[in-house]
Amino acid sequence: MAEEKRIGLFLCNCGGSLNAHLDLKRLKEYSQGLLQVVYVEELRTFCLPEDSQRIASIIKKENLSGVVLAGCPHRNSESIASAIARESNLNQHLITFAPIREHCAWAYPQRETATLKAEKMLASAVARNILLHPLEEEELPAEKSVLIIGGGIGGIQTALELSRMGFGAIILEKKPHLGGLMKGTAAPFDSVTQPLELISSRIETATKDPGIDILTSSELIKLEGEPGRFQAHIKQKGKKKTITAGAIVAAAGYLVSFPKESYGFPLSERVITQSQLSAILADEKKTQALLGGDKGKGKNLIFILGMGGESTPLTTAFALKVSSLIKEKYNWNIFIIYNNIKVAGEGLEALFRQCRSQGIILLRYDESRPGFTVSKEKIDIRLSGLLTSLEKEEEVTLPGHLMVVEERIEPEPDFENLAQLLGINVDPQGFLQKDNPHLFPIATNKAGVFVMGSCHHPMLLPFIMEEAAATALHIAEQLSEGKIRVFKERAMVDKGKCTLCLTCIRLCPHNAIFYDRAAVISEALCQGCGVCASECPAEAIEIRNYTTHQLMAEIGVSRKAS
Amino acid sequence: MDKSVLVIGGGVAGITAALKLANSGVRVVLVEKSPELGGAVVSYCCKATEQCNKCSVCVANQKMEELWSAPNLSLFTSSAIGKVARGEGGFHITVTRKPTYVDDNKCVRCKLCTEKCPTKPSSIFLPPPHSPLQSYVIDTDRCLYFQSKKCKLCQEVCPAEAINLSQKAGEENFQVGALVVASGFSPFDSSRKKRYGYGVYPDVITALELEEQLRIEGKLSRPSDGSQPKQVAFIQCFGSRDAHVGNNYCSRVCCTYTMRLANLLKFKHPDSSITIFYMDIQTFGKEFEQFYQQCRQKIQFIRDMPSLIQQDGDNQLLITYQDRKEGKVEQSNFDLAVLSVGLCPGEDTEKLVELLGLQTNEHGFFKSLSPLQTNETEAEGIFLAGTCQGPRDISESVAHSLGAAEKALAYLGAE
Repeated sequence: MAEEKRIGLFLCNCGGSLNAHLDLKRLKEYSQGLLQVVYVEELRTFCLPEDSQRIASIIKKENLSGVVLAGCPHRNSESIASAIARESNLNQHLITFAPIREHCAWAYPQRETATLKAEKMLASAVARNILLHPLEEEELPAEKSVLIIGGGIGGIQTALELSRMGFGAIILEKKPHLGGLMKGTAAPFDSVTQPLELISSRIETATKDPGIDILTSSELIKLEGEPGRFQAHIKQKGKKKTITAGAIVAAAGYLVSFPKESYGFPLSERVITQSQLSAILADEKKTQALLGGDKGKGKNLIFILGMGGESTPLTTAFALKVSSLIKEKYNWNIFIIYNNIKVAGEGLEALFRQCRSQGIILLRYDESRPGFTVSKEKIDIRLSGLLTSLEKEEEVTLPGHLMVVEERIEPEPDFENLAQLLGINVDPQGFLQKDNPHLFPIATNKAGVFVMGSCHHPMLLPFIMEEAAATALHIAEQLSEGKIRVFKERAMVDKGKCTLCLTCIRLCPHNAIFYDRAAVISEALCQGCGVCASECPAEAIEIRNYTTHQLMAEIGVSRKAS
Repeated sequence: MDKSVLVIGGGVAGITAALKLANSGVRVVLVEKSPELGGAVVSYCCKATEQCNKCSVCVANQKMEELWSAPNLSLFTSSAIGKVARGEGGFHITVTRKPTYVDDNKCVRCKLCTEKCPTKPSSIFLPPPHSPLQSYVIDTDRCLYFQSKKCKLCQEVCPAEAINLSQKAGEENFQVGALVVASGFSPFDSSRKKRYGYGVYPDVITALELEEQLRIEGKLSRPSDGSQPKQVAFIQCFGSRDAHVGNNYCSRVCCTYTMRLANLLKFKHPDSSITIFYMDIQTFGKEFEQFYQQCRQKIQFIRDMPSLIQQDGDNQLLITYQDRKEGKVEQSNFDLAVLSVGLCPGEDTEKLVELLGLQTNEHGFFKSLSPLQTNETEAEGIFLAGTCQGPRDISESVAHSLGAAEKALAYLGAE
């Protein structure tokens, strides 16, 4: 049995307003009779600084080792507790609340009933408080460098932002060169940004930056450790090495593939993909050979969208920009055939209208999808149900001399492997998953591991840049001054009871548990959710201050009190 | 330079940026013109059916709770930016604050003022739980103090000394190192497109009104007679992608929210039939295409923008549109028409542009430095966050605001 506690119980009458609903005098007397309670006082408003200060001074004077505040479930309760804790040097986790205002005073019309319930709540709160242990926070040294997986625009931009904030960044790229998908993009992003120029200038800045290390032809093979000091085992051109990093950012790209089954014919000289066209456009000679001179005279260049699933703003933007560019320079009749034109991006609707005014013909199809007949000279595209004339229209055949098809955007096949290495989740489509994309964009289920850019879902360039800034800020906040704050012994493993069944390791949503003759819980990774404690068949794990013993004491006393 | 930032706007974007900055050790002043924080999001409803549909409306509430315990943060609600001058040490800003009479930071919600108020019902009260305003307000039309200066009972009994009936409009001056503009958007003014009969027929409502109805009442009823509508039409691109009203852009969020709302209505009232009139469905972002395909199973999609909404003799709406499959003009009856209003530049944009020396882009939103530098502006030390820069959904606004906070921190050298 632990040594006796000295508990202080403070009743708040909420500016005197609770007297009408609760017999506070009786509650005070009742509380004085509770086990290990050495001090009881009625206060007016302990949410105000004066009362918190008074409580802190009483804690010091009476040498209290536990405090129960009975009043409202105040929206500020955490900050009140932390203010009292700061003033009195009592651990914040030894200060608990009993919400007798909402749960008793306001809930029951009769004063007698409300007071009776309040008595039970006070008894419960005290019984649990007796068994509480302080939960200490500890500062651990943290490496001020970040490992970034993926050397595309997202990864490079994140590295640059981090370097600017005084962090080291290591970019890991599996290809022999940086640049990612953007390296093969010739379509201008907007009137001022040329992607090839943008990516080359960013690569140049990153290469010169002394804070940024670049490892090409490299991949991650194993990740160990915890936030602040991850050990990343890397294979570079067959050679193995280990890097220490404070945080990990996954900034990989995506894959594109031609959905042959949706079209029913293969790629050929006449049928090229958007990325093939993009590569050609990056080379002046090849562009001339394909599009220049009289090649386009009386010929139809056809962009087709939405055949292999819904189109995306990325591929739609490509078709609109490139067709507008070709129309300006070369002599082709251009058609864009689409199902839903995806203009949900800045400037895309205006571009869509500009294309129309340039003489590009935009045709849309609905449920009746286009059919194709491939011959040597051309591809005939059969369209129906697209004209806006009021008569019921017939089928129209459009000869295509060069056709640019949209590719399907898919997760990279090694995402599953990468996710497993990093201890994070993938979504049903196979892209990397964030923990809660709305509340904590960028953060994942595993502390210290972040996901940004198109490996979460394919996104337009401005959004990638925004995420890079947000990621750098998140990391800077956690690792600032080379330290990371963790709770000491929040989850406790009884090594004698642990049978190494690995249930906890399989179920931990934050991948915070390892084993070494018994389950070991990483303090830096643990979020204190309690899944392991509730699932452990041997009852070997407990969460500090939510142990079975503490909870049973809390419930048991309120049953007895009736 | 002074390591402090003034954030204009207390919606999701402003709160996110303010919290991030405050937690990074910067002194933050958050200025919101309405009496309550939360911005547009507080009147939206949760779109969950048997599962969460990821509308992120709950984000605002969570963020606001975090705000209460944030360090280094002063909140100014019911306040507006008066004067801005750039000078030694950053910006000198005057904030004018309308009197609220109840200091929400001090108020402990003990109800004593409401109980003691001699007027019946009390003229000082907490608005109902579904109201976006969640601090005590005084109805100055009924309050005896404001009528005849006779009674000050509430002020006398308030244990927290949160009530000050003689409060005057105040002015405060701040000197800050940087500014974050997060002044948000305005919904498209529905009365501008007369052919859809908004404001003429009671059963033509906006999606915002539908959100509010679902949030407050939890169910759908027709404004005209209170009955439950069986046939509901949604009309997309209302005020977006429309050169006639000068909005040559896609508002991005309307397809998403309409489908979530339609999905929710179908879940709540399985016997109702829902039709969405649209031009092009905008799917982007994670897993939304899959959601769209699911919606197509239970909701009718008609690809045409209706030309006219009228009301017939039986109190029914008559929508005229073109059936493109048959190539015919059709008319169908509906019980309720919902206009999916787009996002327009915020109503204070022009005023702020002038005060801060900024510019607007061709659509009237704040102009960013370049298409890739969406947080920065041409004015040094002023950063943009959220929908004031262009249409964004909630999670994109959060990410954008984090970016603004990062840029502001880097500018202050506060790292």
